[in-house]
Amino acid sequence: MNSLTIDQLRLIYTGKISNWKEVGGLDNPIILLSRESSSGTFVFFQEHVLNKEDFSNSARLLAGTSALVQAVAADRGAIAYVGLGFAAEAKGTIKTLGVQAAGQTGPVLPSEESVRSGAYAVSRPLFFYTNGAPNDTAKKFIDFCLSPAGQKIVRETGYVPVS
Amino acid sequence: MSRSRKLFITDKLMRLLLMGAASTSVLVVCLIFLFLLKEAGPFAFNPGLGKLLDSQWIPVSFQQERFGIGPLLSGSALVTALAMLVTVPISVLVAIYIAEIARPGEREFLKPFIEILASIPSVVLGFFGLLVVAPLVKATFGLSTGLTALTGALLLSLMAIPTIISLSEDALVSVPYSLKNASLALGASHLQTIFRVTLPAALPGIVAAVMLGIGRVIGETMAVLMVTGNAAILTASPLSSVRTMTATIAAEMGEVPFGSVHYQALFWIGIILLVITFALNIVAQRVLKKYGMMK
Repeated sequence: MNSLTIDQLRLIYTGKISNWKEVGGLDNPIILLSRESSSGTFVFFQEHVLNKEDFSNSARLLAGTSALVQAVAADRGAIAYVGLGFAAEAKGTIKTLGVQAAGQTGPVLPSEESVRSGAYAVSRPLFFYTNGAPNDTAKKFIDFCLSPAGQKIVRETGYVPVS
Repeated sequence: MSRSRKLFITDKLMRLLLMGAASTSVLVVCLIFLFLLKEAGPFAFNPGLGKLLDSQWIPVSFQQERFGIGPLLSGSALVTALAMLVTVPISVLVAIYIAEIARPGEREFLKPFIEILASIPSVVLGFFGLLVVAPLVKATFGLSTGLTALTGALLLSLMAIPTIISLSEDALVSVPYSLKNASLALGASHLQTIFRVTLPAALPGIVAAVMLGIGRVIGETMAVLMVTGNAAILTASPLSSVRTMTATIAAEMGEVPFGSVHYQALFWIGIILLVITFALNIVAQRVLKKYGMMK
């Protein structure tokens, strides 16, 4: 198992596929793991991967990304979605699957290039929200984040810089 | 003012002060209940309490949000029942040992340890559960994951054991000596006396202890949140994942839109939890009182 299509991901997370052999893997039950419903990632995944369908009720909802990474590393047949930075940090203990979106000819692994180009389908931008135009401290902070020094930190923590 | 008059007023004032302090807890309980009702209230009119009877708990959905608390109630019930199944036999046996059999030295040694067990923060127990109990459950039953109702129940029983031991021990110790002596005088052995006389006589106290233990367990949040997997499934299987009422509130309250239907549904869960623990406490007190075991 090195990749899944978006359709397969949707069928897995909505509970219509429950064994790895149905998607070309070993004969093992799929242990579904997800963030809690209070998480923005949960809603993103629901909207863009599950195509707004409901998660299977047998999905185990864990309290944070580290808990997910730890569970995937420990439990046979477990699958979860986590931020690129967490996946990179846990390299070796967990396996990152490529994703093939509709219209693509092959699976795409997540990387800085594939996320930036949009080829890797399960990615999203992160925003800062301010009340009106940002002033003083807020502006300084946002400017710093967008500066080369700030973007360097973004890359170091495993996220994808905007510039 | 005469000395006696002064004393009389001081007496009155002190009495008022102490009564005020004593009634604070009553006031707080009432206020909490009113607060819960106020926050949860609008749900009763729109969308209506019938929504709580839905078969599924899907609070975040693009299709239809569903607020059936059945799976959560059953999750709490399953975890609690399993925990009691483990806790009650162990606790009662330990209580018998401490109250009736242990030498004073052993008692002095055992009791502090039991009290330390009671004082372990539940988050710490949660860590212990995640790193030790969950892998153990997984290996023992050949599962793919150790995040199960049973794992949560085992942790909860660690929390309930000290409560039930202490209260059961009190009940056993308060059985009158005349009963035990009569039994011994009739030629019953020490063990026969314990199991045929002392234990039955202390039974109401032990029942009350178990009920208070259940109250403790059903309200526990952190440890179950960490190890039960939190999938809202209606199930009776100990090896399945469950989502308890407490874990649901803790996990979802943080990000729920203020005043939304989902927010109100969470408050209904809170009300139901409060009513359950309240009822357990009242019944436990009644049992104790009826058999004259209230201290």
